[in-house]
Amino acid sequence: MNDISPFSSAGDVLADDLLLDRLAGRADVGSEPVAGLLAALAAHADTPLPARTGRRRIANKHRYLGAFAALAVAASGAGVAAAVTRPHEGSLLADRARIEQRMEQSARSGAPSALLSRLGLPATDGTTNARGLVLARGTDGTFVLLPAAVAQATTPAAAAAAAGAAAGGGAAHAGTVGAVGAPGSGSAAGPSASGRSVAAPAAGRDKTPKDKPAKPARTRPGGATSNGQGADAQTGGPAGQTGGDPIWVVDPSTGTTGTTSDQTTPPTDTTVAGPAPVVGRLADPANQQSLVGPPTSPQPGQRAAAPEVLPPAGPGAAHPVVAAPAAPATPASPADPAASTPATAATPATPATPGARTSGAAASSAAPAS
Amino acid sequence: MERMDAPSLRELAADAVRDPHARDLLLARVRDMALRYSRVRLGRFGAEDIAQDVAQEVCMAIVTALPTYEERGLPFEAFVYTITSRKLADAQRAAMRGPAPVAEIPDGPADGPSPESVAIMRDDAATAMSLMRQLPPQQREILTLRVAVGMSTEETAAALGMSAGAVRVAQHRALGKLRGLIADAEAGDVA
Repeated sequence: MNDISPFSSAGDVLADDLLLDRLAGRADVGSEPVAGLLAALAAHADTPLPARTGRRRIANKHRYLGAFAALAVAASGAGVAAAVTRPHEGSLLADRARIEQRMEQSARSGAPSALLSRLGLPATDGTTNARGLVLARGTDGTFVLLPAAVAQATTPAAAAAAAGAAAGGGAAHAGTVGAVGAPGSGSAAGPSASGRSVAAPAAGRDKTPKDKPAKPARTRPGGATSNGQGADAQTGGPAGQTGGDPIWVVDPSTGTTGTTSDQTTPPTDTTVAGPAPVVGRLADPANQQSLVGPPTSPQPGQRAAAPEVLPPAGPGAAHPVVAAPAAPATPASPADPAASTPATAATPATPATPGARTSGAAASSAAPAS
Repeated sequence: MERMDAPSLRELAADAVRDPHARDLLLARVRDMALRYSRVRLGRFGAEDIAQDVAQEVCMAIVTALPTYEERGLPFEAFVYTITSRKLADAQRAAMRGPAPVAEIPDGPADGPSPESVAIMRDDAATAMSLMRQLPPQQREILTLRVAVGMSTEETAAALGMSAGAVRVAQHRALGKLRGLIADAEAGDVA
């Protein structure tokens, strides 16, 4: 039917031509399907077209731009931050509350929680539970580590000495410990405590030459703290005169005593004869105070000196005597009489025998009860 | 018929050079022809503003060409059709990169057909145009000029450079093929 066949009549061609004429004239064309579609086409031509929507054109125009923008946002830090799940705020608040609670508990407790760890001291039951030793300065300027009970027993004498020191001005330190220092326990420190009070070398000076060659006295700068403050004791610096703020540590396991200084301060060899390994700190020569810290693990770099037990200072000695720690690093000048003299503090009247060097436990047991 | 009583475009074009009234009538009819043809050529999703612009461009071209217009045996409708088709092609190319004007907000109630009837009409027109795309270009152009523009057989033949008999045979074939396509579409819907 698409092609005009010989059988198609001319009437059909004319009928279609007439139909199109009626469509062109916008007349009624009947109900034929093709006529209806063509009539709709004619009406479409006569009717204004709908307004063009700008959004469609914009969407077509910015299609790739929008996709690129979305990709850029997804790949950017903002997209990553939006994708990452934020931690729940409640957990943060709970952690904060828990930390604050622990801090408050630590603050209310009597033990200085972070002191030992800060100072690098081993924390054991002895160091944490013992009441501690008390450092006292002898008349010759050496520091003596005393048990708390002994210190309390000597309080009246110390108080009297303190009173005398207050009256005597600059002799206060010597007077304070004057009661502690028993006859015979005083060393041949020689000069006055001024400038050499802390610098008194102790370790090794009780050894006899036949024990082993005496090590050169390792002096500790007077009053030098762990941070290196203070002047050399031999030079009579201010720190040495005042005694500084030394911190002595008694290893509970070995009974040895060392300093709390860090690596810059070499460990000291001291002689301890105390009942319990404690940590003592001389905060104030006039106000002897011991500190006990919480348990901490022993520091790897910490070195405890070998215990050196001294016999009782003498017949009148009422307490064991602990020699002051040896000064580090600075070798003593041979010209200096105080430095060259190995025994300057707590030197017993009789030289110690080689067997006097015992372990910490032996030292503890050998210490006379005070 | 009214169309037969009205002066032809050739007569109006001959009088338009010296008669402003004839020129106005000529431009009015040219504008209608160009607008209808543009609406059909632009399709269902065309824009009225583009069709209006095309019609305006055709009118300007006609006015510009009237002083130098020479009749060479073809009807004036063929001249208008040629100008309109070329202007429409230019408009279609420019529509993709031009701005989109905002439609005017009507001040009064619309007296035209309801939106529902307009939607149905445009849907049928879209179906008709989709079916006409399956016709050969010559047959599609004949139907467009005959139905949408409203040209007569002779005018269409003159516009396309064909004889009236060839136009009648071609439109008869086009209508026959459309009937077959409609029957196939209805059969497919039923199946």
